[in-house]
Amino acid sequence: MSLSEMRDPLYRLNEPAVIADVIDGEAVIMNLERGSYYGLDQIGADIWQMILAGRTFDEIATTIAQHFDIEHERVASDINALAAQMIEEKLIVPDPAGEERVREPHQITVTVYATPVLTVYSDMKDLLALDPPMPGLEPASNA
Amino acid sequence: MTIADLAWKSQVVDRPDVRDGGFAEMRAAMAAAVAARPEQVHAVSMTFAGRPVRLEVAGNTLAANVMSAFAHLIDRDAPDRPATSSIAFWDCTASGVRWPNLAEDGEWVAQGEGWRISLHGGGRYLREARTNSLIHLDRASGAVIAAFRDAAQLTLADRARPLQRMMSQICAAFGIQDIHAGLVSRGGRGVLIVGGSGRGKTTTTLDCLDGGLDFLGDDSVGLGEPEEGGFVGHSLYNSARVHPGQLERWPHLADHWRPPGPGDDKALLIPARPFPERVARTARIVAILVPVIAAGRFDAVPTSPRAAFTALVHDSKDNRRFGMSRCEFLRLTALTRTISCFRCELDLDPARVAAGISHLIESLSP
Repeated sequence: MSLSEMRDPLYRLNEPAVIADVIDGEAVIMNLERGSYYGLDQIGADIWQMILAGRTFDEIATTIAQHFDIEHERVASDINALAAQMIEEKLIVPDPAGEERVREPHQITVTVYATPVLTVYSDMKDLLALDPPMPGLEPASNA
Repeated sequence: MTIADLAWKSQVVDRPDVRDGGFAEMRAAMAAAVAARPEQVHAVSMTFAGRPVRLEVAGNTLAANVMSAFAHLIDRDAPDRPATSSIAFWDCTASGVRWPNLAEDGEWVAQGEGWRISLHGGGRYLREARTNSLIHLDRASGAVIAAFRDAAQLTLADRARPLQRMMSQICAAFGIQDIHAGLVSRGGRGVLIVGGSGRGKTTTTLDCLDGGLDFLGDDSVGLGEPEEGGFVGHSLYNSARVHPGQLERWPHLADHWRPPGPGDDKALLIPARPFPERVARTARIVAILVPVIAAGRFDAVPTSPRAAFTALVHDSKDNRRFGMSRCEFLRLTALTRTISCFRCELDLDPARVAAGISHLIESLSP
């Protein structure tokens, strides 16, 4: 899928299969269905958060290129590759209702731009859900 | 059927048409085992994750093993205290009572070689059927009923950590989270030792036990979030297992190891036997430590929360069978985000490890 095909749609987190959080500026992501765990650091974590905040890939490329004063083409190409990987891993899915979401601002946290890298750990099938995943119960209470 | 369809609702409790997957039949079989050999029945009150639980075991051999592993949780001064839940075991061979022959049904099923797990009653009842055991869990109350074909055939691993394969779900029923970690403490303030198998958790926790700190677990700990905030570690098992080649590291413990038996690869230690005063039930977590195997000198240096999270989650892949929920995942990210994280090299001198961790606890503000 090319950037031009991806640039218009908004994307969202592929819940409930995927759970994610940001720790100390790094995104940690788990795909419970695939048994994979992912890490995104540096500008990758910013890109991840901007996607979840309701920005299109083109908007993100423009924002980053302007922030670091670098070529838009280069950033767009990097985001294209990263987004294709995220979509392949089913971390994000198209959000048809994305236009209705409130777009949250995001402050870029890194000071230097480098090609974002999605680190994939695919050896966690024993850790993650049985096949099929077992339905959970809400926690009884906190201890 | 979707996950939402299987969400348990409180109304299930009173519905006579709810199929409990044989939980009631297991309860009846347990009662029969108790009645069959009353002289081999052992019942105590214990505190599990801060809650009073009745532990009942039918079968002397089974009781000796189970109660050793949970000895530190038993409340000997309050044997008849009202309990909010119960854990019951029986030995089929000792009692002459077999577990009930139950239909292999279930609203959700997962199975492999030698095991089958199923959910019943709208997701409330979890059943694990294996060749030599049948275990039922009421996920709403935390009540467990377990039958073992022959306690004399239990492996050392099963004796060290009864119900380990089910423990994550038992913990969830009690509102805590079973995590793959060790835990030591001083004065009620604990350091969580994280990392995958073979990464030094047991070595570090036993160094600390030998060096005067309190022991709460070497491999499995219950993580809780008290109302007042922060994180608390709950001891689950009074046991530690190491490869026989490591035993010479702790000469003070030489007389207390149980060697591996058939089917085992590790020796077993019950920490309460050499050091009964050094086994604790709970500790407030003040630090997370990631040991690194290297013949260096112990020196706890700050590490990133992300590194601690990876050690806690990714490197612990061999210890979880039921997957991780969103709630559990976010609890762990919150833990590593808010608690000070360190890494250290495993020192050749166990005393320096104990002293180093003790100093670390003292250095962190309460």
